[in-house]
Amino acid sequence: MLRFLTFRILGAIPLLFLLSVVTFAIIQAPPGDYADYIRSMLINQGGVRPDLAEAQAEAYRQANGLNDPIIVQYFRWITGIVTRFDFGHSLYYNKPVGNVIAERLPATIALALVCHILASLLGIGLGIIAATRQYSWADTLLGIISFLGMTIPRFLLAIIIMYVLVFRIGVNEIGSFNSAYWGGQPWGWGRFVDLVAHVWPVVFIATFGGLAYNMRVMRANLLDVLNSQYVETARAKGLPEGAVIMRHAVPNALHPLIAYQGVVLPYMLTGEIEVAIVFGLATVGPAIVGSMAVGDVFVTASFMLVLATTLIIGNIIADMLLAALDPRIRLGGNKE
Amino acid sequence: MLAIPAQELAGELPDPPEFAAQSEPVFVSVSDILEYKALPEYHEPDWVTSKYVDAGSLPPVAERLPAEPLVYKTANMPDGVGVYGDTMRHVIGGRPEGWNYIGGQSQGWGGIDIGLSECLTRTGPLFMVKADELQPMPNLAKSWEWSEDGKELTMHLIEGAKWSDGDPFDSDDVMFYWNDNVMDANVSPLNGATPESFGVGTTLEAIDAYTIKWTFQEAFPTQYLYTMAYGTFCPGPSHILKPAHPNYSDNTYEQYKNAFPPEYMNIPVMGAWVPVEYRPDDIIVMRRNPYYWKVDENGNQLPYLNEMHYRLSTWADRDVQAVAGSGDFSNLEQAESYVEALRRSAEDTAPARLQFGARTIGYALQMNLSGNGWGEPDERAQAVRELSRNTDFRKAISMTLDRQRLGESLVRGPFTAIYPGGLYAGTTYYDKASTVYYPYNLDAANAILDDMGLVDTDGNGVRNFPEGTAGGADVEITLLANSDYATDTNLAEGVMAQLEPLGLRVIANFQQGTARDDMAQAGQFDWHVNRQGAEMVSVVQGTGALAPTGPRIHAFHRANAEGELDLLPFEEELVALVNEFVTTSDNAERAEIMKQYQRIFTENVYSVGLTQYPGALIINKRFANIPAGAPIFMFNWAEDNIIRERVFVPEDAQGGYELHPETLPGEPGGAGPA
Repeated sequence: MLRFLTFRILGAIPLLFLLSVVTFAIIQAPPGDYADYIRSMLINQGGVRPDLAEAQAEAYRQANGLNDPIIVQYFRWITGIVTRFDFGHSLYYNKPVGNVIAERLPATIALALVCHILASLLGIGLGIIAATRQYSWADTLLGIISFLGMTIPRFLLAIIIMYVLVFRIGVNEIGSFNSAYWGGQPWGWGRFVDLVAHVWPVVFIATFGGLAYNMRVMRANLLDVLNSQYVETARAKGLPEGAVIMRHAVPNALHPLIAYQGVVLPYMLTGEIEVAIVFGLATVGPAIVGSMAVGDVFVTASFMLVLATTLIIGNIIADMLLAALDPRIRLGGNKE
Repeated sequence: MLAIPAQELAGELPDPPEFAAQSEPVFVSVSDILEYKALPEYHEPDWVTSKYVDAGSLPPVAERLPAEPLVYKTANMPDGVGVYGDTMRHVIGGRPEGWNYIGGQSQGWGGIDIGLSECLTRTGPLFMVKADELQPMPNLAKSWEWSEDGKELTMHLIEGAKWSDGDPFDSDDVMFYWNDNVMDANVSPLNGATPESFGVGTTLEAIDAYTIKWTFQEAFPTQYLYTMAYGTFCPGPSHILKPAHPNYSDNTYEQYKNAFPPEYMNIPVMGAWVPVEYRPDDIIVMRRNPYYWKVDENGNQLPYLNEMHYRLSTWADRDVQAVAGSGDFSNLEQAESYVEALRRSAEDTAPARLQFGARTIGYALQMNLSGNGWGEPDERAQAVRELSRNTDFRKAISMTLDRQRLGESLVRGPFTAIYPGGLYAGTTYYDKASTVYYPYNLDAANAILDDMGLVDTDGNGVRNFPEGTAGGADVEITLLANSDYATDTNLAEGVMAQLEPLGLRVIANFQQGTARDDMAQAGQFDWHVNRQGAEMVSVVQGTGALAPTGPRIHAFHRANAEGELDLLPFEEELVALVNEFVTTSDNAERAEIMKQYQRIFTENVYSVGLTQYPGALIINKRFANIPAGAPIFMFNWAEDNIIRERVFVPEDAQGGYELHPETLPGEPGGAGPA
């Protein structure tokens, strides 16, 4: 297993390198850089004359090496990461990119985990209800819910919910993790309640999408299992129906969902990211989109690298889980 | 040449429709708004007296104020003298780079720097000043006089005013800004002040602690009084900044710029509020400046509002939070949102109200008129430019656009107005009689293009260039627009659709914000749909951009790499008029010059006006003293126009929004409020 893990991690390094090159090239491809953003803000917000704004932008380019060839900028960035674990300087935030990531990643992962856990628990629970009441009204209703959850784009749902909240219901607790007051307080019950009041739309929407998938998979698996012989045997032994389902059927229906956990890491991140962009929460999502819009290239590239890493980690976990479950899958068929 | 005489094509310009939600300013003189004088007594919030003055940590208010503070007159305050307390909660999409404004750092925009920095003169509230008395308002410079030959301007600074940490404000601060920031080529103050901003060869010297003298090369260059307002002459605290400047320390210029990062609290300011708390990606909190040098007529030290918040979110979130009531202030500029926002604000439960000002948001179809190679056009693009340089062609384009429909495609109702181009109706220098308008007339437009030899030779429905020009190919024109804003792309799509019956193929080139700006600034466009700049609204600001007065100054006509401008004859007239305007101090003469400018501009369809509409100030209903007709942008942004230091919340409407109640800013660089 150790050998398997080592090979997978070593194999990820060239992949990450390749990803970093491609990412950097893609980000640099469109015209414009951060100095253009400076110029735009000076003209649009500060009312500065175009030629003066351009002069200031050019001075910024000179000072920050934005005029250097892309390849030079790339190697400066990647050398910093490899030698000093320095992801570069965020032009927009005027601080190290590492700090920008560190400020936002924990909240992103926490939010994504909460959504994932809720989606799993609710999805599995509702899947059990649907499977055990096949073709009843409850099954139909849950079928509709899961259908909606899988088909409505999350960002669209976010916009609709925001519209209803603001324009129809008059709820004003939206955007940001905490109200201005509680954001500065130490963690406690009051701040937690305030947090829930602010983030529930994000949690709801991201959970809704994930829940639908889990529900469908659980329902289908459980229906398969419920028709198998050992379940019939359990019933024939006179076990109560509840015990048959929860003790014998459900654990066996869970396998595909457990195997799926490995690759879910990036999936749950993207769900949270999409919704957080609409609601303007200070997580990774708005930072990626925002940095792309202003040409803050090191932030975009670093976030892409971090997300690619989570994708790879997720895949490694999935492989390990599968390898643990099924020895035949292990690398090269070697026996350990 | 033209089969139909141009004067027959011109028509009556309809007046902009009236609409009830639009408020008109009450026009007054500058002297009706404020004066500088000593009052018999001064007041401040009770808690300041009891917690700070009585405790001995702060001098009495009369000692903190200048001998003659700036006094806002009650008669000009819409809701009269205010009461202390409460908070204005802004939401912004920017992030602060640091507090060294004069060293070139952005504070995040959205009105933060306007609240922190005070400048020699002030322009924001000028939207309510009578046109014939228009000149910048005094501010840090309380008065000024010109020498007889008009080349020397002596300015008197307000005496005895202090920075928010109690250090005196005097000509040292002004001279540090001028000598070590503006004149030092290694420093670029945030809004781009350079020696040239005040005229080549201009010098500034300090006569004494409260007198400075400008010497200009030209006589009476009154437009520089506007340049001395936000954001090009707002000095920083020299007692704090100077020791970090490379001329007085071992610092590099980069270190000087970054010496006051966002985490540095209580940076001394002359503005009404001081930053006391910064949470990255969350909020900037500012508390009242105990040394603020402005009062109301009853002697109450301003500001009335104790605290200012800036939530660090996104620009889109600003509108949403203002409508929702979790933010207090926004500038609504997307016409597509107006009906929904108005509907919501009309409900009794709505927390915010919408206030529409004059129609000062205007879009024009601007054609690249540089035939000189700016932006390195290929053969097709060069052929398009030659077409665009033909006045008849521009007239034909203008007559093909149904501006009524264009406006209504953005928003139904009375918001948008037909905009023929040039200065906006409803602004100071606009004159309807001088405005030439070519109304919708597709037949005449087709006839013009036929006469120009642009005919559809291959029968595919698109006119071709004449043989020998661009290979006789179809006339294809790319149209650059900003895809960040629905208004820009909606208008561009309207233009493309409406030009189809004329037999021109207009192809969209929609680019995101900075990419679009980059292409526009580099001259890489045939045409672009552009929201026009401040110069079209106020005329007195950014005046140079009204015509190609310099090689790289104009939006759609610039010099090539060799610095050659190939101006059309009428453009030369426009340049002459603009230059004349700049050196004329007589308001009547200026108005006359702008009439000529408007006539030449619109007669020649310098750019094709599309639509103009008002921005809406979204402001929470609890605020009082919001002046009627305050535009979201005219001489400055709404944050300055509403004069925030005299805005207040009546006692019964005050909310518990203050995060640091009953505190004042602490030591510069200290942890937070004291």
